[in-house]
Amino acid sequence: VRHDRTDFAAFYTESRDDCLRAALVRPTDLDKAQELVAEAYARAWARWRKVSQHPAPRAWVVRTALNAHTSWWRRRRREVPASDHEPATAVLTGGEPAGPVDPAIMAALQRLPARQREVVALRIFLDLDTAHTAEVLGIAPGTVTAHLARAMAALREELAPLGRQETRP
Amino acid sequence: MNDDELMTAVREPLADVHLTTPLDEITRRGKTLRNRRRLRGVTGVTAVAGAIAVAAALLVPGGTSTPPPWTVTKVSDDTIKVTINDLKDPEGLEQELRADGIPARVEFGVTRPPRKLNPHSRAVEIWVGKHPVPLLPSTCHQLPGEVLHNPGSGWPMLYTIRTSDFPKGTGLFIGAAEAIEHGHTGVAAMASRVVATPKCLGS
Repeated sequence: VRHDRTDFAAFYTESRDDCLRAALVRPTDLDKAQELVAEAYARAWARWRKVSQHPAPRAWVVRTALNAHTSWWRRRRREVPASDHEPATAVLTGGEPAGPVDPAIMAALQRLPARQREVVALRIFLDLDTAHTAEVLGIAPGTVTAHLARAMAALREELAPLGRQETRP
Repeated sequence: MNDDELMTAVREPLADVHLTTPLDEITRRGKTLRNRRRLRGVTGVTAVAGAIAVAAALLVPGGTSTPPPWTVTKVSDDTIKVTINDLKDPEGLEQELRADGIPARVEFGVTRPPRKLNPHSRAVEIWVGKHPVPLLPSTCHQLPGEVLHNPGSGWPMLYTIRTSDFPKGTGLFIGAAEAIEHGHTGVAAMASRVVATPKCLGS
């Protein structure tokens, strides 16, 4: 157990910031994201023998946090009286400011479709290669490449004007 | 802006974001979750052991005989059994099924008679009538093939699930809701194989 804990402690220290940044691709506030990622790490520790054998344990944590996020949204929806229900799409486009993070970047990330956000989280923030990303998401490597290309195109379109504004005299 | 510059532009603003939760807090919570899972496993492994535990709980002052809301037990390499005693903690059940390799979505709810819930809601939708009928969310596409369940209605609800029935691209939807009509409470539930899309399963 002590050996396991040493392994887990090293994993936690080395990966926690990247996992939190990756989890911020979904609409949330920073406090909630911290809570979700911490819970995902706790779940990882609860089944560390299994998670440590995962092809990319960091990706396991991020996906668990993103799934928990979905559940959290659903739970919030249930708290709304039936007469006040809104179409599901309203929830997906909702969300609160992400705290001290550049709102333009966050808005651009959060406007991406869910699968593209997952690919961005794993490829850009966790620096996973295409093969590992495909394995973790259970999709073909070519699909990962396609999702990333579409996401990059969308981000470029949204962020390029910002870059131009900043470089203006 | 080339790809590398774009990735840097996306990554850099988040450089000051740090997860500050202490490791001890994480491992303490993890230990609680692990113990809870073990308890669930023990509760569901054998009926005899369960009966003894319940009997013991009744005899020991301060003990409790309240069963967990649900249990997931492995029957064989290919088969798991889901027992639902109470419509609580659907997210936990989802996580447990996912850990067993089945992409799952679980929705527990309560109907509000006598009218239909909002059709745009992603929650379980049920018409309260003589026979409440749970429906899949419109974002889910049902696949042929049955998920075995206990005959009739009532508690606990039992589902026997073969993991080989869920190849890549498929998932499991479990929906259940309490239905109240004329002062009587019942439960309506369904378990269905579905196409594993993010819109249906939420991931």
